[in-house]
Amino acid sequence: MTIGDVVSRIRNIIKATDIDDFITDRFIWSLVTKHASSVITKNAQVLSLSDSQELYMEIPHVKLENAIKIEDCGIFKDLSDLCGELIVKKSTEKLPKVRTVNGRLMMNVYSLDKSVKFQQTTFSKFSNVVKTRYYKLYHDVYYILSSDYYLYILNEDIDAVSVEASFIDAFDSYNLLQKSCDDDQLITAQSLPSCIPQSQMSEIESMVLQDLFNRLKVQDVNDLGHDNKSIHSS
Amino acid sequence: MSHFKHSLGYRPVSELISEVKYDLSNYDNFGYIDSYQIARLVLYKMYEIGLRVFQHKEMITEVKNHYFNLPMFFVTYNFGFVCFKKEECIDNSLCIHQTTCDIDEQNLPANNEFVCSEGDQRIFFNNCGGAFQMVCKKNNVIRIFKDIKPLVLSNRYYDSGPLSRICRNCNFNINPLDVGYAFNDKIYLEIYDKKMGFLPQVKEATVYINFVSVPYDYENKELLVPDNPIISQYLEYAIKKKIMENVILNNNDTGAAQKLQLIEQGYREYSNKAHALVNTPNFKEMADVWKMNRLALERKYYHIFG
Repeated sequence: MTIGDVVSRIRNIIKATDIDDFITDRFIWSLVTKHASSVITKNAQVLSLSDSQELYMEIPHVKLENAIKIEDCGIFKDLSDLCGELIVKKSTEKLPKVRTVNGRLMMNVYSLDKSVKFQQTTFSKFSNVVKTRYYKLYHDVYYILSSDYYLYILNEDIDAVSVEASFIDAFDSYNLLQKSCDDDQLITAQSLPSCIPQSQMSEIESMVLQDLFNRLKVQDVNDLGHDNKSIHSS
Repeated sequence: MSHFKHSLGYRPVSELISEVKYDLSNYDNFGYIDSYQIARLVLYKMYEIGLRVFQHKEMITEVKNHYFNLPMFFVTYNFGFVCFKKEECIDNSLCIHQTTCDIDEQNLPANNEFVCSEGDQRIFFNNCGGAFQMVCKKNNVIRIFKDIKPLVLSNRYYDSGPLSRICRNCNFNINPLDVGYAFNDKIYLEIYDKKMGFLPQVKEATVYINFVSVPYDYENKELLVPDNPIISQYLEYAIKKKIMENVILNNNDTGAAQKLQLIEQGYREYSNKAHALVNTPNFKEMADVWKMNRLALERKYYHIFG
């Protein structure tokens, strides 16, 4: 389901025309993103999140650069002796905000050919992992999405990765997608996947409509002008 | 009667991890399944079912200043030799000329029982007119050690089983070099004589050791696990159990306790099966014990009348 589909579904229900200057596509989409995350997180236990491909959106090419040495040593405060050995790559661009369920990111990072899936971790967990003797038993490539939404790849010297994630606002990935695609390929915001499963749409729709009607009601009341007898007006 | 494959094969731990990740894809997508953690757990569980699932490896190394470094993933010592009088030759004909006896490749260790630690390197014992030599063959280069002395570590249980397997017809009438030893956190082994202190002849020497090692593929740098359906299922259940325990302990999934209960049943069943499989002696072992007991009885009761 694309962003265009979701917006047009809601627009059809309220019979609002495209030329309505108050109910813009962007406004409807902002209401959808506002309610979608809470609905998905609430139903996370019931939803089979891994099998629901509608939840995920792919950015096929996220460019990486070498993280500055002093900077990466700053990140790994406990690992000052590992700073030289560790390969740390950082995404050149910030990633959009990713949905979390129970503190875990709904995100997968692969090599460009999708043959290797990287392991999700956090800075604190990784610092504990490298301290144990068993770290050498299995060579795994880790990724970390930092609090400022930069993607870090640890232990692998690669130039780019492929990211599959459930973004809170799929529209935020528009710029990143445009950069990763070929020049002749045209992407429109409406054609982007919404990262919302079809099964949850009815619940999200009802919440959006309720929110929308409340706002419209407030708008109407405000439009009444001086005849409105507000308790705040003297 | 059908023919079963008796020898234990190995496969990389990544295969096992992929199978578990496929089964628990929902948890995998959220990064609950850490491969490093699984590798650690697999190692613990393999210890639990017994050292019989571990590999026997051999290594030739140089002694420097009375000590040598033990290999990575060394578990226990089987047997070893201190090797002297080294000769090196490039191809077989030259070696025959130098050693004045043929290199008997019949005594080559079976590949499935003894895995060489250095890939294509093969080590075997050569009977040269009653005197045993140790021959190490790597590519075209052959190293012959004309004088070998068994290295017996004092105060340790000496198991001659692996030695008789590697060289069935060898009759080593050599006085072993009974040496003291010091394991330093399993990193190196120091050789000295209990009475004479450090032996001058072992200050700089070559040592052959046969040891029990954690199954590890040195080429691909990966831990190996036994390729057996029952042991694999036991390990799978153990991994799943650990993952679910971590999920519960970290309050990540409220419904995980029920899932853990489900896994627990399978784990218990396959734990019993795996332990039974590993610890049941095979027919050859039972026959050996029977033969040993019979000989002991003969010596005790019949031999005295002979």
